Amino acid sequence: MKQENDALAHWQYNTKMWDEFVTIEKGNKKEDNIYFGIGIVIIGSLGLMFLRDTSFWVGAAFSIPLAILIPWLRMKFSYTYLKKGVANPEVKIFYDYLLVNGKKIELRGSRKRVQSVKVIDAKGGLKLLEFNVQWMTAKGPTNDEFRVLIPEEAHPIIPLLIQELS
Amino acid sequence: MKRLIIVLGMALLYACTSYGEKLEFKKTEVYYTNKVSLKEVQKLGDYLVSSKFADGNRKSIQLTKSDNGNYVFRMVTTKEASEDKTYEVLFKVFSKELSDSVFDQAAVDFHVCNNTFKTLKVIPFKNETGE
Repeated sequence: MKQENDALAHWQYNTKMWDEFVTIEKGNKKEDNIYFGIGIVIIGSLGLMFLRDTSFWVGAAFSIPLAILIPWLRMKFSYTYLKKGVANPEVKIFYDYLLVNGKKIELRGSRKRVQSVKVIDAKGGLKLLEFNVQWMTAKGPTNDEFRVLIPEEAHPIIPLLIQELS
Repeated sequence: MKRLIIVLGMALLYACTSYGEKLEFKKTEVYYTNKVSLKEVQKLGDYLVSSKFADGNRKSIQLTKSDNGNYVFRMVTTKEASEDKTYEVLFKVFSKELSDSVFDQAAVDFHVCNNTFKTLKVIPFKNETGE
């Protein structure tokens, strides 16, 4: 039985706690983006070498700007909820989406699904709830992870939440 | 005689404070009273493991039956979680899933408890038709 309309959890934080989470999460995203950028350079350069008969350096010259631009755009537009200094920060978890300080993050849709939900340990003993969301593109499935901070008082109900969201 | 009284007193005290027998499923302690059978507890434990409720982190629950025959699933949580109305949806959904998957659609009341299994809130069972 899945509840699609009611919020399953409503978590509120103080600004200091939220800012700490944003620092951690931006660090996680930065790391993801570095790997993403390296992937673009490797695949882009080799792709151009083999498919367009370019030299490695020409391939790299085309792919390096993209390897910088795409992760930067991703950081700029996809993770706007990772903002410090928010007054009364809050997260609402619904079956189909998250509301993070009023910004909606879709978890499920006609081409989107939640592949997994799990708890991960972060710095400073913090625990984060990670949603691994997968959606279909013309070139196959793509994944992204969204993480929210679990307030300490909510730790005992997390197994119920994971079960409902999985 | 004095020793016997002390032993009986301790036994009585134990009986009053005991949470019942205990089985453990992936670090989830399942206490149960003599109102439910071992088979039912085993079935519940298997479900808790398969549904990933029992995920290797330590937690405690208790299974018993109330006077009206409903199963009672008692879960240790925090005072804040017991007072948060949002979580009632989760507790209700979980009771319904237990009812459907473990207890052959029998009613399951959800008790939100503190760490000594004192009930903080009761979520009475309600099936989808609201009966």
